[in-house]
Amino acid sequence: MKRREFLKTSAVLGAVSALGAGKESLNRTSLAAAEGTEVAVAHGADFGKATEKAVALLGGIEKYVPKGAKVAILPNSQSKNPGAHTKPEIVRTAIRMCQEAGAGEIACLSWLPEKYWEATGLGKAVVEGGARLRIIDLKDESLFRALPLTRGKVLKEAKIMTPFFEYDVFLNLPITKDHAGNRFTGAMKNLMGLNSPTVNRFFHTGDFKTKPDDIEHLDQCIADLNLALAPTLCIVDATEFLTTNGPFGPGEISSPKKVVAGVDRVAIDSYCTTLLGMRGEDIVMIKRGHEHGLGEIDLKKVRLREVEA
Amino acid sequence: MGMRLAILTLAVLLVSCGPSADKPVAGSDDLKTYLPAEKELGLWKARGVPQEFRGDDLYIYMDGGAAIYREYGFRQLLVQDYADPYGRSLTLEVFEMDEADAAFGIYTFKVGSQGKRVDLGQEGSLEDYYLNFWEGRYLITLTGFDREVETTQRLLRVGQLVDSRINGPAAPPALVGLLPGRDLISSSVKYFRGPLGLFQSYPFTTTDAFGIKAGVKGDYSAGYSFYVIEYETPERSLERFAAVAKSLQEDPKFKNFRMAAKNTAFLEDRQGRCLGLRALRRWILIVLGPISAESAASLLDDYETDEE
Repeated sequence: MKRREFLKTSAVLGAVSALGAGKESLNRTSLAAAEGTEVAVAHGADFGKATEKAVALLGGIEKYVPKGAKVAILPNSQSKNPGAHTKPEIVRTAIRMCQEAGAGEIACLSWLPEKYWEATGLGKAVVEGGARLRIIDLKDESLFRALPLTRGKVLKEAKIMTPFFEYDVFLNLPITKDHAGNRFTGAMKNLMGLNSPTVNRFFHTGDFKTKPDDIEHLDQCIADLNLALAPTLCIVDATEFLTTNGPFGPGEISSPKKVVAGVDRVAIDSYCTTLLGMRGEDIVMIKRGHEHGLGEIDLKKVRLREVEA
Repeated sequence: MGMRLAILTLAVLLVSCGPSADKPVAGSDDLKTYLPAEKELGLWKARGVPQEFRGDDLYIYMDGGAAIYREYGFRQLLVQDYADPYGRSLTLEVFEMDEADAAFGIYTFKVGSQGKRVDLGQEGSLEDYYLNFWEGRYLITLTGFDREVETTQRLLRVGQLVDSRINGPAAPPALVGLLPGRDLISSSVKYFRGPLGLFQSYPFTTTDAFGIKAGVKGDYSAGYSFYVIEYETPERSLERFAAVAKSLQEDPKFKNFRMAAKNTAFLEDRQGRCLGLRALRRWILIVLGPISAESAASLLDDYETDEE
C-alpha cells in the first residue's frame, strides 16, 4: 500500500496541490527531476506491441501501476476522423497491461458523449478490454470540482471532473496531431479532457477579434491547467496523425508508426513536435509548461530511447 | 499586373460557370434542404438523424477545432452519416458560413496542396479519403473512412447531389486577385480572416500584431510564398507594419533583422528562409522563402512598380 499511497499523492493529489499554493506540485516536479527525464519511443506497425515496448523501455507498467490501484485513463476520442483519435489498439493494450500489473478498477473518464466513443471504436476497446467507460454529464457543473490555480498566469481556476479523484493512477493516452489553435496538441493539451468544457471554452474564446494575445492565451491556459494535474504516465499515439486541419480533421496524415511514453509531458510534447517538423520551442504551450517547471523542453537533456517493436 | 487581372477574370468566370441555371435556389436556412433524398443513394442509407449545430454549439461537435471556423465566420453546421451494407461509411458536413468570403476562406484553409480538383461547387478538391467544395456561403466536407474506390465514388456522388441543391454563386474575394499571377500555384492560395489562419500558415507571431481581418497567401513555383494583408487605411497598414517588425525583431527565432526603409524590413528565420516585409498603401506585403534578401526586395519592388 505504501507504493499506492505514494502514487495517489503524486498523480491525483497533484491536482489538490493547486489548493495548497503549489507546495505538493513542487514536490512532484522535484521527484521527476530526481528520476531524470526519460522518453521511450517504440516504432512498428503493430501499435499494441509498440505500446508494450515503449512502456517496457521505461521499466514496465508495474513501475507505475501498483497492485490493486484504481486507474483512470484518458484517451482522445474527439473525432472519428482518421488520425484524430487515440488508436483503440493502444488503449486496449494499456488496459491489458494495467490488468496484468494487478490494477483494481480501470476506468476511462470523459465528458464527451457516448457517441464519440462508439464512432471512434474506443468505447468498444474500453469495455471489451474490461475497463469501465464513465461518461460525465458535461452540462452538470456539480460534477466538476473547482481547483484554484494560484500559479496560473491566465487560468485562475480549473474544474476537474469529480470522479477523477477516486483514482490512484492517471494514465494520459493522447494522440499527437496538428491543432488549428496553436499548431500542436499532445500530452499537455489532452488534460483539457478532464477539465470542465465550460472552462475549456474560455481557452478558445478569449475573443479572437479583440485581444492581442489570443494565440498565447490558449497555450498559457493549457500550461496553467497542467499545474493542477500530473499524469502518472503518458502513452502517446504518434502512429498516424493529422498534420493539417487538426484537431478534428479530415486532413493530411503522417504515419511515423511510433508510440511515445514517459512521465515528463513537456519532454514528450517537445519530442512529438519533431514528428510534425517543429521543435518544442516553436510551441508556446510547451515553453510555458517548461517555465512552470513541469518538465524539460530541451531534448538534449532528455534520455531518449528508441526501439523497434 | 496583367496576371493579377487574369486571376480576377478567372474569378468572374467561376461565378458565371459555377451553378447552373436549373439548380433550385435554396432560400431556407434549413440545411436539411441540401441532403440527398434516400432514393438517390442506392444501397447507401442515412445512419441516424442529422445533427445540427449553431454558433458556439460548434464547440460541442468539434471542441477546440471550432475556433478556426468561428474566426472565418461560422453560422451553422449539419452533419449526416451514411453507410452501405458492406460496412463502408461516410460523413457529410454542410457548413453554412456568414458569407461567401468566409466559405471560400475556410475551404482554402482545409484543402491540401496535393488534392485533385473536382467539378463541384465553385471549386472542389478530392484528397486521399475526403473531399471539400465551396459554393456561395457553404462549405461541404465529405469524409470516407477508407481509401476504397467505391467509397471515393460515393463521396463524389453525394457531393454532386448536395451541389445540385445549392445555388449560391459567388466569386473568391477580390483580395485574391492582388496576388502576383506569374508562377502562382493556384491550388496553394489561402485566404485569412484572422490570426489563427495566418498563424497556421506561418508562425510570424503568437500575438495578433498584424491585427489581421483579411489576407491572402500564394505559393510560387520558385519556392517562395507571397502574402498580402489588407487594412482599412494606409496609416493603419504602416502602424501594423511597425508592430509586426518590432515583434519579429524581438523574437529569438529570427535573426539578421534590418530595416531597409521606414516601410520595409528583412530578416531570416531559423530554417534560413528570408522574410521581406513592406507596408504599401493599404497592405502589408510579405515574401517568405529560401531566397536572398535581394531577391525578396526585387519581388517587393516589382509588385510596387506593377501597382503604379
